[in-house]
Amino acid sequence: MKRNFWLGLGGIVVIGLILVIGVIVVTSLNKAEAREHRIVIPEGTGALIKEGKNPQVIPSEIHLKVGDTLVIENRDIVGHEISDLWIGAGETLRQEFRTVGVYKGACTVHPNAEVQIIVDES
Amino acid sequence: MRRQLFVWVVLLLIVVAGCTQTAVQGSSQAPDKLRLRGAAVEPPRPIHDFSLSATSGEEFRLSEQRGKVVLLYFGYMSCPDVCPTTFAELTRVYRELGEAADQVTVAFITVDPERDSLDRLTRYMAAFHEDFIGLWAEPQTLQPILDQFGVQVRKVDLPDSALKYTIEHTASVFLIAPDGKLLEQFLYGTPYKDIAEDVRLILSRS
Repeated sequence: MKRNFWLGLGGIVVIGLILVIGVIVVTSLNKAEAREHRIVIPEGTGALIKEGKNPQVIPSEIHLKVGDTLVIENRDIVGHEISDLWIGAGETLRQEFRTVGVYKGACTVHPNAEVQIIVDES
Repeated sequence: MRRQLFVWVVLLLIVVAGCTQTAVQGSSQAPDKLRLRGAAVEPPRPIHDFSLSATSGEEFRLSEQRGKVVLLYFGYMSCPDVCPTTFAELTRVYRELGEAADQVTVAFITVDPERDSLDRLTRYMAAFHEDFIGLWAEPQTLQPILDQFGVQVRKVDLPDSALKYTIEHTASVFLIAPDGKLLEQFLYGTPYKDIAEDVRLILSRS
């Protein structure tokens, strides 16, 4: 009787643990499929651009898939414009792109002064 | 025996439900983090108060909009496509919100004060929605406001055109939360339903 009780309890604990691990794995996989594309603008980038230098922080085209999140972290002491997004000094901008499209605009970080964010089907 | 089996099955179901809920909550985002559809500004940017002449006939003061969501757009009336398209979308946002629109202010600041008088702005805004507010300021008053939002404005001369000049400008719609901070920007082309959903989400949290 006692043995059956402990066997039953042990079985429940094992099944519960398997389920917990399974849910965590599945939700983690779902998150990994939608990627985070991170750009960091280092401190001093604005000063380098003013001096006519190319800090090579971002490409002229940023390619994303639907569902991807673009995160732009500005560690510089001045604000920057990437496409039509303005990121103040010390700010981070986070945008999840849910539809296909092309976002073209001025860029204070890129030497060509223009950048395109291209979002394709996933 | 059957009774014992029944008890074990019930216990198992309780444990499964509890473990699953714990796992899902643990692996999802922090409950207080908003999953916004626009470009979220982190941390939300405090906006210094400003006061402008308004098409409503009264002075528009940003701080008096506290408690509401403000959808703010910068453009000009002679803009051939981007501005009217954006306002058409904002009209759809406003209608989509239904009663919740009572807690929303849609405001338009002209970046062409030379040509866009308050009278002309009044007629322009009325063409989209009677509740939309047009705002006007002298260039020296306007520039610090543009700087707060990072709005870029560039006059392009068109000597051979009847317009004489056009204006290139940031085309994003800015969302100011009920606490007066800039919470997100919507890139030009953001579906109106996404904007409406974010407005509803923010109002429900405030």
